[in-house]
Amino acid sequence: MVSKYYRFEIKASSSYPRKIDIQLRSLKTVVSKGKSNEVKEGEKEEFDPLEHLIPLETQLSLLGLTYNDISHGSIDLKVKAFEVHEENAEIRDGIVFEDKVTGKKRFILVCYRREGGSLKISSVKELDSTEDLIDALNSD
Amino acid sequence: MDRTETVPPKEEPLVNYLDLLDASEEEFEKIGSKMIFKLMPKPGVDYKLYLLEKPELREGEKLIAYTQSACPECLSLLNAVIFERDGKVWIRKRCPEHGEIEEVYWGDAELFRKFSKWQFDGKGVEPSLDITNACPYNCGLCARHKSHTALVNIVATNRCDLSCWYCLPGDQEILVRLKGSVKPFSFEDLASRYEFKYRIKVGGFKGEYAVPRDLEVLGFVNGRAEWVKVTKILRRHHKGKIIVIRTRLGKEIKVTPEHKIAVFQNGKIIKLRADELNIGDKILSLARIPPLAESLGIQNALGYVSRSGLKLLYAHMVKQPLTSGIVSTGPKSRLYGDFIVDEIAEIGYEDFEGQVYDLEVEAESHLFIAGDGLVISNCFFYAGKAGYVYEPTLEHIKYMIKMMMKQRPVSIKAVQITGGEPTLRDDLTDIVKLFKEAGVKHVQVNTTGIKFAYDPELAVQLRKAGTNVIYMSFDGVTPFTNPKNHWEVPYILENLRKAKLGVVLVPTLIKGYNIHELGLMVKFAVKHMDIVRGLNMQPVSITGRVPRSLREKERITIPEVLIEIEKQTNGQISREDWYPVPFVAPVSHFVEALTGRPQFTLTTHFACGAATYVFKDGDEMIPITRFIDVEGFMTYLERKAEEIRRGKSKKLAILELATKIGKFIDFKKAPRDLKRKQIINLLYNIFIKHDYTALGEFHYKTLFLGMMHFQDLYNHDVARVQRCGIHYIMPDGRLVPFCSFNVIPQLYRDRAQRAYGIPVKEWERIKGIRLMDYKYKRNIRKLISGETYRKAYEGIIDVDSISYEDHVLASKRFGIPVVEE
Repeated sequence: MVSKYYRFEIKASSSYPRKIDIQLRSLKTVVSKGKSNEVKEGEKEEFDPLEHLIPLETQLSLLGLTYNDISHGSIDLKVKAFEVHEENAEIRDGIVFEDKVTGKKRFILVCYRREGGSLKISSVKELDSTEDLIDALNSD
Repeated sequence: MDRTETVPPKEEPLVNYLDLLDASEEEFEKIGSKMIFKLMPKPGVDYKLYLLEKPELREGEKLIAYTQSACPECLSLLNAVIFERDGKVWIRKRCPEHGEIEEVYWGDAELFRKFSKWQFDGKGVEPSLDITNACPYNCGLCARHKSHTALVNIVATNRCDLSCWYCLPGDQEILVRLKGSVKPFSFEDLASRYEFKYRIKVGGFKGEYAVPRDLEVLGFVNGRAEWVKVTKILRRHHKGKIIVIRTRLGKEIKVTPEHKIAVFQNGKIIKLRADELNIGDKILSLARIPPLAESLGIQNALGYVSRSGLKLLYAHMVKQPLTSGIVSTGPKSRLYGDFIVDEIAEIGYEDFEGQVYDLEVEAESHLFIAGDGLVISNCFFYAGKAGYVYEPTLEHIKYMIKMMMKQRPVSIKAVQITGGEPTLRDDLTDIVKLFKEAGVKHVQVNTTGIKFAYDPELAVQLRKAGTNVIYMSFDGVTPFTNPKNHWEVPYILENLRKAKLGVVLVPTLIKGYNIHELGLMVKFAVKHMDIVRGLNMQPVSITGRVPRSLREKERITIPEVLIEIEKQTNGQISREDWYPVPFVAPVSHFVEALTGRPQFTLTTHFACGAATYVFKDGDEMIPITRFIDVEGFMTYLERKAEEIRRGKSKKLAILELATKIGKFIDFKKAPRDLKRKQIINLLYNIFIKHDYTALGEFHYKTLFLGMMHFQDLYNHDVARVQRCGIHYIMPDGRLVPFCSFNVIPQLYRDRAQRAYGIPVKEWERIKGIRLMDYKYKRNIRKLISGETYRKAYEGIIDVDSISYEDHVLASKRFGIPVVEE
């Protein structure tokens, strides 16, 4: 059985109910089991709420955001899918999140593990810079 | 068969609460941990997602934002647009299955803009649930929730001591089994066989009833039609409208407007008042013949009913000839157990005067099959309306307290004990003590207060147990706007005064009903400032499915109330004196920056509520905003908090605040008898402690005026749900936002309470009492003759201008019977 990991790239801004102007992108997605190896990027998919909403909300919640937050105004939402074949496989995603209202940038390493056929977050780590994030993604 | 989709009756998870009456907190914990997942809404079953299309704006409409909102019909999650038009703010959504729904969101766009400047989001809570559903179908709470719990509601009981009585006209027919013989009867003909020798008063209605022996009707039992015993035939006189409902399958029933009908919604049966029904609503009627034949006990009853007679009976009930086993129901018809999911095609009204009837049946669902085979409710019995009594034991409440007290990073400090009517519980003071022992600082009891009018000791005991304030229904100053407790309010206030237990008056505001009394309500609250801590108004939340024309008649939103208060107080309290709930968040941010610890912060959506404080200055009322520059103060605190976060010295920040604070106060404009130090203390109590009950030292001077507009499915906005700070603790231990618990009751409140409920009959057997025994009867003559009554309303209304007959009529119309002794 194949599990799917979805990577989201988002640009969203709105002034309701409070002002937000955010950008979320992924530096790199790594699927590993034992040794790390970069996988070929999946096909771009249209946002399908039935399939993508829960993984998107799960990822946004790490940033204190919700789908509702990003859907109030202008939104550019891209989805890429990765197939994960092996049980216990680990997916590491390096997320760069920019909040243009506060001017803050966040670098987050999110690790997912495939357990019982589905992907679950196994760890979340906040890092200081793009370099730290790349190092973490490339480490064994 | 090929044209018919069978939907098996759904079995919802239930616990056998009878076995848990002596269970320990630990046992409730074990059960709760399993029930949470069984009771959670299920995608595709309880709701659908339609999030690809956004509603378009039309000419003359200005976009404010998009959001998500539930369909009032099927609960599907839809995109919605919030926009400005004609000076008002609106919300519109379109369900692919049920069409477009448009509703006023806020009645004044200018005030909407003012309030929107003061939105602050919270840090949320450490989640108790993983995200497995779209919001708002994952409540419990999850990582999407943005506000910590500001107030927890706990339902102590679903029992209530107020009631109503709904009926059917005498020409309506019903299939009965009388001494084993199956026959259709009109209610009139059936009634003629019995002696109505018992008198009954239910709600405001007088009537009579007979107790039949060997009489059965077809009851709705878990999707099957089964014979159930009729324990009473009731009748009363009715003058007024009768609703005539016709279905696509040609069936018809006539009922009084309040009578509840079984409606098939999202795979479940709910009960809706006849006047809440819409064309297109799915209702149930008898369909499936073989199970019916079995249930008729036909083999045994052949001596009474011939095969041809049986055919006639079926034809009568299902309006279809007897075929090979299943009724031909036309395209797209569905079955629910033994019933067709039919659809309302026409709703009409008729004037009526005469006898109307109802049955009391021994079906747990309180549903039976009436005219033309349609399923209706035997629904004149209160908690019996739900069919179960939900009343958590003290050990169960301990479990719920344990669960709610886990909340982090900000712990829970305030609780409201609510109902039904919580004062019906004999152990209410024990419940208050449990919360106090758990460390809850503020406990309030939400009640009609009627019991306090007769039991002053209850107020004393609740105060001693640690109750901080009574949160009391108060819909107006006259019997006509407040038939719930107008006559008792003076006595309630008197007894609360003696017990030194403060009260917040809570009017539900309905356009065309009690809005004209807003000024008088404020005046009444000010008159009783010694014991009244606040007036917290709640613009109506429209429950059930209500046609747009009726919604427009009743709908009022926060800004319209503010404008009306301004008019009715001659500008003493203007619309500009009010601020949204999160307005005070900068104070919490400042304290948080100073202490480094997460603080209690009010971060609800700006559109949810409004508040101000007023001071009594002679005969005048002075809002706090007239002598304190509250906006300047909040802006200053927010800036200081940010400076501390960026490394500024905390000591320096405090020093600066101490020297600066006086500059925000115009002492010349302050109430004359309010001293400089008192004003500064006031700022502390109001803005730092967020506690209007802490205003005790300002008796006779200060009144909190608040407003909370709970949502309904017409103005529902997920952005508001995610910021909700008023939550319910559920019997399984989940904390659910108010506007999910009550706006989507079928997935939250009712589902959970039913699971942990006890069937009414069982509850009555165990307790040795009947629910009906609790019904309140009002002696108006005695209440209005007391000096306490006259004094309480003196200067507010002319009590002598209301005749005794009008008093009685007001009470009876509402449903509370009047007695002379």
